[in-house]
Amino acid sequence: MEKLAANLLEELTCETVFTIPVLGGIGVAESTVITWVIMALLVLLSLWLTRDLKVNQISKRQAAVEALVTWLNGFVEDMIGEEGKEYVPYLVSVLIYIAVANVIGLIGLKPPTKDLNVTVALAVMSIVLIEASGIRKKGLKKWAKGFAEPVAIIAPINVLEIFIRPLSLCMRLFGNVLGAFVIMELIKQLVPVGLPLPFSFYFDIFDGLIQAYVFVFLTSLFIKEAVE
Amino acid sequence: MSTLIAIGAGIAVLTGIGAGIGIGIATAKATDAVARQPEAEGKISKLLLLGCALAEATAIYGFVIALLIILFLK
Amino acid sequence: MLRLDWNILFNIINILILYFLMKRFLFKPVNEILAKRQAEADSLFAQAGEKDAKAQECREKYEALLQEAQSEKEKIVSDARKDASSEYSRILDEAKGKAEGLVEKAQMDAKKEKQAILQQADAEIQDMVLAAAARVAGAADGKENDRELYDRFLAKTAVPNQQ
Repeated sequence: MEKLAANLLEELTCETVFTIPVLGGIGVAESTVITWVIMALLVLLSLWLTRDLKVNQISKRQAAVEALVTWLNGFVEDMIGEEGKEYVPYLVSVLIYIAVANVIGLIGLKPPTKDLNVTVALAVMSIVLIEASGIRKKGLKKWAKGFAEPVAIIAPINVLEIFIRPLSLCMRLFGNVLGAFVIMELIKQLVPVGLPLPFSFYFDIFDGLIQAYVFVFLTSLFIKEAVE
Repeated sequence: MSTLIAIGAGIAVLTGIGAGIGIGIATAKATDAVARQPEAEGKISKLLLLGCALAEATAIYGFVIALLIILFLK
Repeated sequence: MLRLDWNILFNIINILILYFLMKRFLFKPVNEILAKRQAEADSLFAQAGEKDAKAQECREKYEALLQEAQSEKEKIVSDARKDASSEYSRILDEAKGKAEGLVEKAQMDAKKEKQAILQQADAEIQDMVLAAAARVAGAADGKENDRELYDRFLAKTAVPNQQ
């Protein structure tokens, strides 16, 4: 039991891969490095997918990438509405990133979304985007006034919402991925062969993709609310 | 001490009750809705999936807290 | 697991970089190609519409031409009919005139011949009369009787002679 706990703890810690020797050493966490790997993967994949695109007589590869991009754009656009069309590429990028990050556990890497740093970063980006879209749409004055709606007395709660929303976004993603990861680790340590497979389908693939969807859905919902 | 930790973790995991009830109600309503309007099944199941994911998050919070209690309170 | 440090900043930068890379390498080319295809489809549609309009125009022109041809044909036919009828009447008149001429000539010929025959007959009768007179003179019996006979004969032959 002690050994199991120790193993689990080891799996859960985010190790520092290397240290940048400035300001007394900044440790670069594993999650950051894995994010780089994901970025490189995604960029290479998209480079390969978008190689020699043609207007007519398209290859299967091009048909696939066109269908994928159209589907993702339509998917996010449906959620965010006509008003926030310009934020669609960002949200689709985040959706792809979170989806890949959540299922990357399948190839043995630790999912970066298991690290609080990544989810906090994503949540901060989201809340900045939400408020920025509100300011861009309504102007600073009207946006500030928006806190006092529908009655002035709930303004503190509205202000508090700025912190609660990203917190809930980040904790939901983090908790889900961490929980799935822990359960998978426990199963792997109990029965290393066979049994993890069906659980992996649920916890790694299904839950990971659903959480990516939920994150983007909630962000786009908040943006929609902000620009209306 | 370890007994207390176990009790604490157990209490934390009780959040699963809320998630269970929530998902149960959501599924019941979704079944109802599909029975009433079978043509809207796609939309309903999408919403149900989203609702379940959101409701499940509370159970996940409890689970994470329980885990933290077990792992870090020694 | 629960550490918050500079990595938040790193991850924010990572996500921003990823966003720009995705935008540059995935969305831009795909959206460009989609827009290009849309433009091509639009232009094709426009071309098709243009062609359709042209075809319609051609058809109208052709129909107008056909109508013109039809009316021309009718005019030609009626002209021809008119011409033909006038020609016909002209020919008929000519034929009639010719026929009348022929008839007249034939009548004249017949009259001339009749005259000739009559003259011939007259001469013959005179010969006969002379012969008869000679015979009568030769015989000289019943002068009275012969004279009467002669007169009767003359009367008989003179009637057609005077006509």
